[in-house]
Amino acid sequence: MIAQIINAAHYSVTLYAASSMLVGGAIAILGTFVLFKEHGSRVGLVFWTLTLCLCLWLVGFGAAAASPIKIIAHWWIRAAFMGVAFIPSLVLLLALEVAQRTHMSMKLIRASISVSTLICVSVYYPNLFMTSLYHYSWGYYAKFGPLGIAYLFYFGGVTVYVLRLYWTGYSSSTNEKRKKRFQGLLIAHSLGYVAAVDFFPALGVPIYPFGYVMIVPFLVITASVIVKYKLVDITPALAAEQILETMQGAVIAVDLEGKIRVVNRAAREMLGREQSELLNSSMTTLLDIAPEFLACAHTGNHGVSRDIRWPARSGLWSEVNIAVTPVTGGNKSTVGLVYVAYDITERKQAERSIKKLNEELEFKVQERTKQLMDAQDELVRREKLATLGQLAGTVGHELRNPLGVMSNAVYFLQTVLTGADETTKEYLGIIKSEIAAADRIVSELLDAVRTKPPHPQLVPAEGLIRMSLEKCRIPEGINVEVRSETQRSVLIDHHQVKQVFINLINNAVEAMPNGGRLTLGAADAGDGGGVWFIFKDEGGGIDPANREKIFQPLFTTKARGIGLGLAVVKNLTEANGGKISVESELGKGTTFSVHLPVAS
Amino acid sequence: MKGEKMVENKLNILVVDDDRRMVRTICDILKINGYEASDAYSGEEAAEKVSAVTFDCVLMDIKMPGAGGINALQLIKGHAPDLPVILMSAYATEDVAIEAKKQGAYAVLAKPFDVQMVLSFLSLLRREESILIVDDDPLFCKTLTDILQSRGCRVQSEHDPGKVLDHMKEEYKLVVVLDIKLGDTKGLDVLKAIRKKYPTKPVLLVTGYRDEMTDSIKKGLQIGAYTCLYKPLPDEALINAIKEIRRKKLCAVLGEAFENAPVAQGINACASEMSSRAVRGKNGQA
Repeated sequence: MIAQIINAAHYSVTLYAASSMLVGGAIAILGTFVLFKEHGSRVGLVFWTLTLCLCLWLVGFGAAAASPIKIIAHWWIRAAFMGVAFIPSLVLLLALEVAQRTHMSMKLIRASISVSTLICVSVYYPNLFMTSLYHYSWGYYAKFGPLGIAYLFYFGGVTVYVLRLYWTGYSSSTNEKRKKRFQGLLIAHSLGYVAAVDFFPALGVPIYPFGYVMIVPFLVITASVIVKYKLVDITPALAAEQILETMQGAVIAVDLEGKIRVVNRAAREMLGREQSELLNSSMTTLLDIAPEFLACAHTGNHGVSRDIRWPARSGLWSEVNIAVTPVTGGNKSTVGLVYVAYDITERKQAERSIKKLNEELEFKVQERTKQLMDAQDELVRREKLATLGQLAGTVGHELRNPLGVMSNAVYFLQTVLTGADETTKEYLGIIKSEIAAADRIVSELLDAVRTKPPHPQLVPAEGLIRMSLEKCRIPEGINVEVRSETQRSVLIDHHQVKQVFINLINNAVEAMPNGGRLTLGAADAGDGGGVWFIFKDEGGGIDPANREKIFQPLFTTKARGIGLGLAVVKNLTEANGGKISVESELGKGTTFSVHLPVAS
Repeated sequence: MKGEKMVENKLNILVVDDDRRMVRTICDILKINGYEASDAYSGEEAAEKVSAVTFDCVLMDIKMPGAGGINALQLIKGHAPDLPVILMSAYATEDVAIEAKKQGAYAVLAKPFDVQMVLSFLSLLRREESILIVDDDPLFCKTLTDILQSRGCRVQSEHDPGKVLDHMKEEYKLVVVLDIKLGDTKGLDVLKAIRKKYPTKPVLLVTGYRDEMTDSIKKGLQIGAYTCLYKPLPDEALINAIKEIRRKKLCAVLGEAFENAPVAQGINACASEMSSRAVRGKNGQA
């Protein structure tokens, strides 16, 4: 039988046979083209199957018509009807796919495929679908049996349903592309259904079966619709490929041997290599990946990720966060690994700079805190002085009145008791000197607490020393030497600074109870501007342990004194924009240096 | 100048303080030192007494209830502009001192003050001092002597520069008025001689040659002449200068620095000069 069928001598080519078979072949080619065009999507597959069925029909009928031998023609027509049986269900499936309603119409689809399968099977039962053959002018043709008539109703029903589906799709579309697509398919199908004229000869009506002619516009329109608008906007395969290529993360898939099988655009860019360089190369030569990390991935843990360094192009390194997940095959076994990496170089840099900034901030905060605490201490010190000042001011002044009266009384007594005995005179002298001592304490106290803002004036440096010296009582045995090496004037409140100098001179004098040399000097401060004044004595010096404390109020090493002299010196010096420092050597002497500003 | 007129009598001092014991002690000290002393316990009372009785000096506290020392000083000056007023205070600050001197106080003493200093002041106030005029022009000497005597000053005159120093020996001289253009000996030499022997003696220079003498005058002022006046002498300027010198000498006793008057600015400029100086008294008394 097969030998008879494939024997070319048993066929004589007619116009109908040739045209029909040609169109059938073209349809199959179109279907295959669409399948590739649609990247193997489901809709592409459905369309391809439909074209195969159409092809089977046209080729079968063409071959039947071309064969003068009845048996061979019968064989071809039966084969063709196997394709014809599935045309309605495939047309329906295609329409549902294009309209993206497949998932909602599964029952309908199953029913139609079942009907088509039944019809397909029934073709081989005699006198059910097809009773015998007609012999028309163009050759042998099928003669429908009772099931053939039923098939026509099935075909008609599906046709109406499909056209309605396209119409609904067309009229409800808001997207221009989608609308055009439905419009094209509606026209193509409407024309294609004219091919139903081929059923008439099968019912005994001798009309030339020009259905294949109508398939040509169907072919052209559908093809143009596919080329122009595609059958569906997005397919999972297309989406997967697109997503893979356009995603920001680098994707590398390797097989079980560690050979790279898939790399996406981001991976190529991040590695700075071409696809050809990467494919088939070993992942381990590319990246140094810790084995335990891979082991983790193999056990099926998802979301295992870590930060690594990754060689970027031109010898640079990128920092990437890389995650690895196993790829499982059909039998759930691992077939490879997928690495997904994101470039986090910038983020890491930002993190580092934030960390650095944080550290700097922390440092600054500590610094400021220290400054604040210092300022607080200073404030407390000043507050202490201010409180002390108010109290001292009141007490001091009030003490001066009784001291004045006492002083007068002693003077009176000394005047009238000229003839008194020596002891009385001595005691009067004691009272007098103690009153003077008390007054000195009061004066020191009052000087310490007077916190008037300075009124700066320009005063010659040397003159300032001389004016201060005039106000000091220099005892016998003290040799004063004034060495001025500057002609400049300092910008200070001379009342206040004189007080500073007087205190320092008196201090130096008191440090040398057995006499010595007191050197006073003024010199240009040089680069920093201003003038340095020095007060150098040859006294006993200051104990290093006390050197920090001498400027603190209420600190004193003297048997008599409340420890305000140097506190006054420091306060007034600083109030006048100056600074003071001290150098001292035990047994050799002390030098106070006072820096005062000049006019800027 | 009142002191000179009352040479035979005791000086009358008004002591003002709200602290009664202060008034009492000061008054007692003054009395045993040969002065009359009156007391007052408020600024108002002091002003009242000054308007009723003639005093030679007022010693007054600054901080008192009611009219304080500064206000009282203004009231007193209204009654007796030339009356020397010494203020004292336990609260003596520079501001107060400057204000007090602006109002005409001789000095501001910080309590407790040096009584000896006040007594020295009073003894100088009591002492009559004469003025020596040295000029080769007898007529000038005569007219100036008359003018000064009419103002109550004791005056001596000398034409011979060689005898100037002899005059100085005899009596305490307040001031020497020296003509800078003398016949044989140059005035500057006389000035030098006086400065050498009596360094604190104020010497007033007088000259009729404003232009030619500039260098000599400069030199004279450098050597230490108090100031220079130009002939013909304006009486008031001379009298004011003498008053000022006397006042300065008195103030110097109370601890003020004695400074020569700036040239060509008139004599009264020294008052403002003095007012800028700090309170004295602390260092000299201990």
